Amino acid sequence: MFFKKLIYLSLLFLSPLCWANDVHEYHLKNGLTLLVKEDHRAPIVISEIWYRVGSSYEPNGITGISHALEHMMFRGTKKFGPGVLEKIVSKNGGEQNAFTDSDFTAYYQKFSADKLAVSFELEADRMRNLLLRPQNFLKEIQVVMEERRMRVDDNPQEILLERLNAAAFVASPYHHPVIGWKTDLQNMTVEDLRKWYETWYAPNNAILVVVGDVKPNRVYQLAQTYFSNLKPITLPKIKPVKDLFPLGEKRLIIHTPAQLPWLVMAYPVPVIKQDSNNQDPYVLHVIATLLSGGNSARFAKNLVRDQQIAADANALYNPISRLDSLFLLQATPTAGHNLSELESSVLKQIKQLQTFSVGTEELARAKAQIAADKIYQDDSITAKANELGSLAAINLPWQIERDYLKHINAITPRQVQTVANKYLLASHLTIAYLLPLSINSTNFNSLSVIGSKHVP
Amino acid sequence: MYLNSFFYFLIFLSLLFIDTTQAKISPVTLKIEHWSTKNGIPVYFVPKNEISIIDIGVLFHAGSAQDNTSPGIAQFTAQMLDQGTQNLNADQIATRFEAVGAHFSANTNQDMTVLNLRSFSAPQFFNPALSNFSILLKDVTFPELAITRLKKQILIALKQEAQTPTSIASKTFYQTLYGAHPYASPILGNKISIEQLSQKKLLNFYNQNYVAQNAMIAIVGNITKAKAITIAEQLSAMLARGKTALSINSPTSPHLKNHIIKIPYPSKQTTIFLGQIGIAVNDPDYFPLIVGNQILGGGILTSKLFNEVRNKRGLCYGINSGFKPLQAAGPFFIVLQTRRDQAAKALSLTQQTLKNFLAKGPTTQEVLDAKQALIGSFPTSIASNEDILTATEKIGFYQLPLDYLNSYQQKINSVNLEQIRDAFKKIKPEKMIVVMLGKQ
Repeated sequence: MFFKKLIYLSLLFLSPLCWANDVHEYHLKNGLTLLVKEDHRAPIVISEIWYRVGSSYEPNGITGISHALEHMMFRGTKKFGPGVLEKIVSKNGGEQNAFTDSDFTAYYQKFSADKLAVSFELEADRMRNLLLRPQNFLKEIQVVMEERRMRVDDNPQEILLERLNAAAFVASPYHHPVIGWKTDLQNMTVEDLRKWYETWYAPNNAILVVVGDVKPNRVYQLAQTYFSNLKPITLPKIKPVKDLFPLGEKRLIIHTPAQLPWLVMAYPVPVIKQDSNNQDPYVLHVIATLLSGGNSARFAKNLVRDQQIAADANALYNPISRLDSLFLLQATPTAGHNLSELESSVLKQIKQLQTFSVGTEELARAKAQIAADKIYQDDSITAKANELGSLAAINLPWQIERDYLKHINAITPRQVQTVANKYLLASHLTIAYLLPLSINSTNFNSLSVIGSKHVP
Repeated sequence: MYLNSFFYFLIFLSLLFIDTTQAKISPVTLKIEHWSTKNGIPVYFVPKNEISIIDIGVLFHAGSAQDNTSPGIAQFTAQMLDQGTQNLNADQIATRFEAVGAHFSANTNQDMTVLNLRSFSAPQFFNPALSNFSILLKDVTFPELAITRLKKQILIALKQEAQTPTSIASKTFYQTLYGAHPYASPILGNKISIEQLSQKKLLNFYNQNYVAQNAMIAIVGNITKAKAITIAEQLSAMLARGKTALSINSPTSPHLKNHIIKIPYPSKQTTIFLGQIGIAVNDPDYFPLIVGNQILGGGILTSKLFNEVRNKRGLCYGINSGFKPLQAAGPFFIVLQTRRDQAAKALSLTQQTLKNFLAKGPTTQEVLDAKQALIGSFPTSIASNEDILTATEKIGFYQLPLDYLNSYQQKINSVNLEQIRDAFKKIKPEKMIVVMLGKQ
């Protein structure tokens, strides 16, 4: 056992090493934040621009607008008309895309380190000069609705998650989906998008993140060259949000065509806040790892292998979020077990955490897994850039990532038990059951040839 | 204003650059060391000392193409590896990896099963992880109880596939395209074949396929060559010499004209797969086809299919075409999803775009742009240790030349328009399998 302790101690020692090479933070006069991290392993760079706007900023009626705008950002500017941006990045050997979430909209290019200026030029231009042509919008909103059908409408588990969020979050804007409600997409106009763009896309609402084979000061100069003449705007004042305090459990039944039943349970929980010494989010991360951090974790060991009541079972929690979030438990029952039996078994695992102190060896293993996950991420410049961007997008300092493992390593068995008792409360739960409607179709194991014809 | 002119100058420069007739190459140099262990396992090693991680891959010619009369057995065997050995049960195996922060995974495709270990390189973490990993190469017992449990889990995974439109359509596509060829067999198997698996069958598969003559090892990370040699010998010593797996025959194209298979499914979108048999990894036309496909439907945001079907008409979210080169010829396919009332329109537009591409061929400018994109983005595809491991595994497994990565950009660059037109003659739009899954 002494040997094991030694291992974990040295793990602790390992963690700060990878951050010895620190993040360089700069602020342009127009309010643009620049974060640079060097990684000279390969002659490449990733350049990301993050805007502090996402679906949680959207009022009713225009849900999904942040994401729809993200799509239109690929439809050209005055200087680089439709299709030109894609061509320039591609010819320069770049890979590019964008992603939208509740708290941010982000765009990236990844290519040879000597191409960084190409990225800055294009992003500086489309920050203020987007065309937003009506004829392009009419097509692009169709694309977005196809995306919604693909991601949500034709995916039974996503249908459940969308409705679970809508039930668990009442006053919080996390209530509505990132991709938006269908009716809102159908009624969205290019004028809505223009207004949204003009409200949020400005240097004082953006963070530029650069990771790769670069010199921080040179990146700063380059950023000044391309971004410094963009004018800041007056940003809307963000109103505070506080969700309702739960007064008892909520239950949802989802009937939809599917093959498998599914159980999801959600507890409202806090997240990491600036200027707060609250360690609970770190403890919740450890709890999620104890439950399902790997094959040796409690769900795999007890629910999957021992009781064989679940085919899979997971606890999910992200401590990096602008507003209070959810601690999710998801599980698929094995044949011969129903969702209500599965629910009791999952809840028994929670009860165990609340009643008995976690063993030091088990806790140390969970910490080792969190450390490994964090340190292995150093292998990917994309993962590193995303870590920095997702913090800055919600006004958290990048030092949170640097110090993360220190907080994790300090957690005691008593804290685990206390936090489990504080938040994982039956009366706070939103519980959703997916009850499959028959797909009423063919046996997919054998081939069904319905029609066969020649196409001209 | 000075800044602004600088800005234009830069872009002007870069455009100028692109419009020359030769693509610019920033050469990639990645030295792969290669040797064989005492019992004949080829080893491929790339030292990477910047971060304190070691990645190891042990690959076997034990993909679903070796399933024979037991569809799903290759995948099932791989998933059983950490479920019990002579001295350890599944809990203990998992605990030993996770206590030192090691990640173990086993993945199966048509050609291979890949066992990967990622660990910190410091000996106090790496040594226990490696020793736990090597046990899985020799001492797996396939406990009856674990088999019963995994069967239930695989049956659920099959149901998961059966509620995922792209999975159903893709399985049907492979089955129709490959007929009696082993690539027709779904990697997970089917309900009946899984139920019929037994401990005896699994042990046979393991003992026959997890052998030195059927294996290769890739190592990437923070160690010396001397240490890599020791590691490879330690892993190699766990394996009996055995025999090489039978090679996979070339598939023959189905004797069909355009063949449409419609699968009723209560989805909002219709999922469309179309394609034919494509190429093997060692196909001489590999590079012309890759460059041509970049133009047709491989280039994200820029391809002809993306422009015609998505950008101009808003008919889908994603559309792409691709070759999946395997040991024997893998498929050429185009895949898209669209609202069901416009499925016929989207299909016909896709077919027309393909026909136009084949009839007219790409332009010189398109070829140059595609080459520039593939050459320029190549360094980003082998930047992380994980990427390097994957590339090294591919080179080792398919016995590609050791300088494959270093010469990749040059090979792309030497492709010309005529080669692309010639290579694409093997794509026959009038002889394609089309799978359409959705409400009829």
